[in-house]
Amino acid sequence: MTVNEFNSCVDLYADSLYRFILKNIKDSDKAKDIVQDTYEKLWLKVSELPATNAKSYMFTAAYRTMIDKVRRDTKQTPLQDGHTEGLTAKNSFNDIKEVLNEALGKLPEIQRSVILLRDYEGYNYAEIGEITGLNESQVKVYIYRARVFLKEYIGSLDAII
Amino acid sequence: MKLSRANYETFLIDYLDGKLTPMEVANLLLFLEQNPDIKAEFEGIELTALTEIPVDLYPNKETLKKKSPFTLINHDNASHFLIRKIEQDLSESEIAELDLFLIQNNSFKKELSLFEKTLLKPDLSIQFPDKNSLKRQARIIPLYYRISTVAALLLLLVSIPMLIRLFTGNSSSEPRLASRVTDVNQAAKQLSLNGKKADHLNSVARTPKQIAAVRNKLKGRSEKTIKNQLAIPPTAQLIEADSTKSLKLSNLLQEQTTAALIDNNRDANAEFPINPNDADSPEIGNTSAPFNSIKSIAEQRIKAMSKDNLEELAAEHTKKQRKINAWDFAAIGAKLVGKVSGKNIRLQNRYNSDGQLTQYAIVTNNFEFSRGH
Repeated sequence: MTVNEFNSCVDLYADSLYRFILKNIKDSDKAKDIVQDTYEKLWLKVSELPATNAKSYMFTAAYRTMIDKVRRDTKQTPLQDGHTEGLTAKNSFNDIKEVLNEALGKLPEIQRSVILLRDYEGYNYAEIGEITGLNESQVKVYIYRARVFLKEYIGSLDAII
Repeated sequence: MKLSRANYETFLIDYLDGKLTPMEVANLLLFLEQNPDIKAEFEGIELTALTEIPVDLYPNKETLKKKSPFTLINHDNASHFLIRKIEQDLSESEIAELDLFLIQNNSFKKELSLFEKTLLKPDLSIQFPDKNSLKRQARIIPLYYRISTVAALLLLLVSIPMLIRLFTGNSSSEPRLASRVTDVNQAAKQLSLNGKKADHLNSVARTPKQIAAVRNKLKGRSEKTIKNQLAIPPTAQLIEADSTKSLKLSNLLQEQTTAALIDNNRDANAEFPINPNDADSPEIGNTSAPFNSIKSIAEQRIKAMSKDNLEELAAEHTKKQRKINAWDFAAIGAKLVGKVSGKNIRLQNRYNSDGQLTQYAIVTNNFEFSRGH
């Protein structure tokens, strides 16, 4: 990868990478740090990594950095698949986007990541598996559970509103 | 066949099975009226006819049935197919099946719309604040930097032999000692060669005066002894005398110094009667010279070596010392590996009987690698 291709990667993927991380950890400073770390890692691999693989490499690196950071910083027990916070609706929402954001924040970390990669970046199951270190079946299961949770969350609010 | 008391049973069975024609049935009924005993028998048989017994229905018969490919979707798995629809993960036949299912089940249409709402759309207003800070500039190396780099590399290359000598100075005493021994051996060989040359010259140049001197010295001895004595060249005695003395470089150098002193005071020293005409000549046994003593001949030979051969040997020795080969680098590497690994890795240099270096070897506890002949 040339320097120009590297800089093109900045133009093409920095925003989406930042959004992906920000949606996951909801901390803009940490999200910026992770994006910068990711591009530092990419720069170290600039001579051996083809430009076509750069996006996948960056999302993988960013995801793993994020997981490490989250686990190191917040010494909390990760949410289990049982959605412990339930589906209680507390706030009033202007549109479905806000509802979804609220619901997204309640998803377990891994479900949130896979559904963001799927919807934001349009990755297929195999690519999401590569990024997150899961196999394709696991990715499908997590996406299914996330969709069901989001649908029920929206449905419950719909009934209330 | 005509109905009679002999065959009426057959007709009665056929009647019970419903196999008789109406004419045969009418004939049978007339026969029974005419034979009341048979009629009474028939009525008893008629009651034994088995009728169909109703059985209980299997409660979940539908669950035993296999579903056809066209009835994949049901209420239980509809959510799965709805999610796959919004994931665009359905085949064409599955899409058709789902559409049919949704037509038949309106309640699932709302569920589908809810699932469609779960599709996330990126918020494009969220952007990385300072993208330019992530970008890199192509590296342009200035010319002076390249020149200084090349100069530094050259300097390093030049200084490597010095560094190697500095680091290997103590440990290389063995090769140097061997080199000295080699030098001494070579000097001894040279001395021997010079001695032989001198013997040849002496034997050729022995004058009648010298022969007379020998005869005088051995006066009273037998003629054989005198001839034998004359046959022995004077330098053979020198070699014999020298062989009793250990030929070491320090001795050689000491004798070299002595020879220089003798050379300087030759004219004044009456103890060493060397012909003044031959003072500058390194050769001995000149025909015009008187018979030289063993000591003086040795001194002259050492002197000759000190002027020519020893200088060459010293120069060669220095040259050998300056020459660095790949084995020197291997020696450094072996030392480093030995230090790092903490194992006994050592280098051995092997010499022949003349003291010449013939073989290099790296020796560890487990293996040995050698190079040479």
